Amino acid sequence: MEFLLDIINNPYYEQVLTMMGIYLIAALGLNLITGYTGQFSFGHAAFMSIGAYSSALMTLKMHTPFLVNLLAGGLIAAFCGILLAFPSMRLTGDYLGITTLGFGEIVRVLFINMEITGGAIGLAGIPKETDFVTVFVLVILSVWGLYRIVNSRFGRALAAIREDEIAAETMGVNALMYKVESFSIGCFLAGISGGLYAHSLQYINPSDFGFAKSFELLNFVVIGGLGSIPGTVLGTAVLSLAPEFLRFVKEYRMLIYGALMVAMMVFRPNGILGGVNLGDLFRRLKRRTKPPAAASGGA
Amino acid sequence: MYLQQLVNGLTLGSTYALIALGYTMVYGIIQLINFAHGEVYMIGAFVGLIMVAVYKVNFFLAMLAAMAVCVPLAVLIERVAYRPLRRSTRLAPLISAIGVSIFLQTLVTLMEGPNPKGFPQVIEDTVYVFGPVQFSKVQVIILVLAALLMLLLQYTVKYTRMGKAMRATSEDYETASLMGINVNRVISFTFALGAALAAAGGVLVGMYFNSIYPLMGVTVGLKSFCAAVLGGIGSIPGAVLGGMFLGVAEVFGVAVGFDTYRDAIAFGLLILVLLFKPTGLLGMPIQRKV
Amino acid sequence: MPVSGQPAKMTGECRSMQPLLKLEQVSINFGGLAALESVDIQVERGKIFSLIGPNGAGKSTVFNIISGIYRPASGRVLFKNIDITGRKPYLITDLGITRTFQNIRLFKNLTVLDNARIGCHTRSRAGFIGALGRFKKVREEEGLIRGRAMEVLEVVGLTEKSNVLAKNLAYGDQRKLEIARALASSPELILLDEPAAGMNVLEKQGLVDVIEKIRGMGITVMLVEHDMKFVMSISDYVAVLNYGMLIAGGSPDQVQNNPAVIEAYLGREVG
Repeated sequence: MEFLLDIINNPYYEQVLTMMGIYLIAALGLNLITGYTGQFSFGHAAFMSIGAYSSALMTLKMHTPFLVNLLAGGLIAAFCGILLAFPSMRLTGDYLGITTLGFGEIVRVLFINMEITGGAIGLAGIPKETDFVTVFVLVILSVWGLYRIVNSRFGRALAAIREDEIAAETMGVNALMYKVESFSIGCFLAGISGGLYAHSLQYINPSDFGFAKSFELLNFVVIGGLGSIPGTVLGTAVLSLAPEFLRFVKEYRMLIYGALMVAMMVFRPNGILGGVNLGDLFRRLKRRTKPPAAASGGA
Repeated sequence: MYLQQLVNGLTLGSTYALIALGYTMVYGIIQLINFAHGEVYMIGAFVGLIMVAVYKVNFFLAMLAAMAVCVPLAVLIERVAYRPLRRSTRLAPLISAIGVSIFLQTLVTLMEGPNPKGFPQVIEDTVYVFGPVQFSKVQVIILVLAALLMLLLQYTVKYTRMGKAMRATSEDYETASLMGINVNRVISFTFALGAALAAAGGVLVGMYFNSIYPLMGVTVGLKSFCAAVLGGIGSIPGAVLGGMFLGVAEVFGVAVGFDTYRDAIAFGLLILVLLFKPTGLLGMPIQRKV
Repeated sequence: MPVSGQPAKMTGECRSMQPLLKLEQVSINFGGLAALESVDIQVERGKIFSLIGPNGAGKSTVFNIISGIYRPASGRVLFKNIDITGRKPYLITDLGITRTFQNIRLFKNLTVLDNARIGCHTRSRAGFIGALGRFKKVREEEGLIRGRAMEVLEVVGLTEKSNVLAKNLAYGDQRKLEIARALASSPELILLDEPAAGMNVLEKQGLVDVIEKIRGMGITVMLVEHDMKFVMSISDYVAVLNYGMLIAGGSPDQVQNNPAVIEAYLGREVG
């Protein structure tokens, strides 16, 4: 506990952890789309940028309260997600991936060309509203929400689509609708994450949200383990802290990072925690904490 | 004026096509978006630069040298980063490919520095005039060479033993291996072919735009991949058509004043085409298999 | 006794009731090749209807058209007198038709129970908001879904294996799970695509029991199967497809003695 307080009181660690939490929220959204529903999205950072710009502009121009702006940013991102998903969710696999990637690049170029977003220079002077506690609470809320979604009729339909879309449809699942819903929920989380990002760094610019960022988010999810909530947490923690730990190798940092990505995939193609379910973990923990007599009595 | 833009567009387009061919052939065989392909092209450009600037060789030798470096590099990438992942989820080799990209970008940045470098003038500034259209000598070289390379590729794929094996493998991977085709060799060969074309593309682009830098493969790679999808991924004529189409569209887009949207044109076109013809211009329709 | 207000349409085989499912002049072609040509099929409520024929005759294509995966080039499909031609598969399931697949298509990385629960999808409502809120209604519905899922697992005898991942089941059990998953949607018509394929004699006997149970629940069964002994022992009506055309139909006895059928199966005899 004291250790945690120490970390939070150290502004440098606090900033690192805050950023990690911000990325984690976006990564959880992507895990719903890619890990649970099985749909490729290579443009997730674009939805972060939509959330970041909308909430920052609301803060700067309309002076509405931070949480309202944050929520609005998430909703606008979700709405854009629906607009993209309806036509493109008819495509499958790589085609969907490349369409979302293209969408991401188009959004970036649009922000560069728009006046209200400050063009290529970006938006500066955004007040600092994001703090560690807000991010922490939102991370917990996202994990909780995702856990509930995954363990519901809704979540089972998403898993069915991932496993076999044709079979899912013949079981009565309206695949297109569910894919659109899943995509927009994922985009909502990306939008929230973007809003937090803007109000944490106080400065945003279109190149923050290029496809490199989209692939970074995808790395978090895939290396952590597709379709696993603890996996995404772990993947995001390891990969977003890795550059910090690799500081001592200085300019070789990204070289090692790239090589690590290859090695991780070659040795653990399903990610660190591929297929691990939070519910199973809880159950196992419960079983372990229960006295043996009670456990056998229950069975 | 329009004819001139068309010539410029086709020149740009044929460089896209050279790179798109590598994407499309690899995708056709192992259904992998080889994101590291753009980096192979970038390294081709750098090898060309070093050959011309340091060793003062002529342009054609520089291109051959670029191929000689890129071909084994691509084969090595496949061997190390993709082959172990052939039976895993679709996203694993993709992530691995991005890892290779980051690795190669950083490596070249460490060796050559991050800033753009000019290409020494190896081809004189002669301009040929045909009525309303002007061709610079570089443009002529690019158009002729690209066409030659594509014809050579077409011949290889259509008439050689290896080419036939490639087509068989892309038709049906499992059956091809049951029929005694050494699938691993075919895949290596495909990467080698793609890398040779990309290396040539790198040197040609370096010469044409006179600016090469470690991150040059990123945007061009993505756009060329777009070109491949646009034309119908897996289809060799599709990649050429897609590349040309994209080059011309970009040049005309810039000419009518969309220059700040230049990088979005490719993706906009791609999305439009995919929505109406989901497998690209020359792609085969997919039948849902039950 | 005709109970419906509409006068029953008289067909060759005089029936007193509207057929549950009706295919009228259904044709479809793939890449120019005719896969089905003007196929007419009527399935009576509560019966076991089998579709047989040599490989490539178009049996599975009939199922794919009924379940909405393919849209026929021409002709109509009527279910309970509703035109369902070209309707989306999930809407057809909603109406009460469900199916299994020849090449097993389970949700492999989900448990047996979850597979069955997804089968209940059309008969339940909770969506995204319900998932987050877990209101009382949602919890009750989850209870019902679980109950229904356990019920259908009981029918096929997979209760013990409810927590096993589908991909870890034995082959015969996978076929049974497909049936259970289909039953979970409380269908009126179930299409079984080669349910006995790959089963041993003992498993086949178990399957006969399961199908009898299904009929006992008042569910109409449509069957595509290669095992003739199996088909003849269980069916009320057998239709024979050859090269995309119906060449015979009738009771198992009638079909077995039909010269056209014998020819289709054994090839043209000389003389």
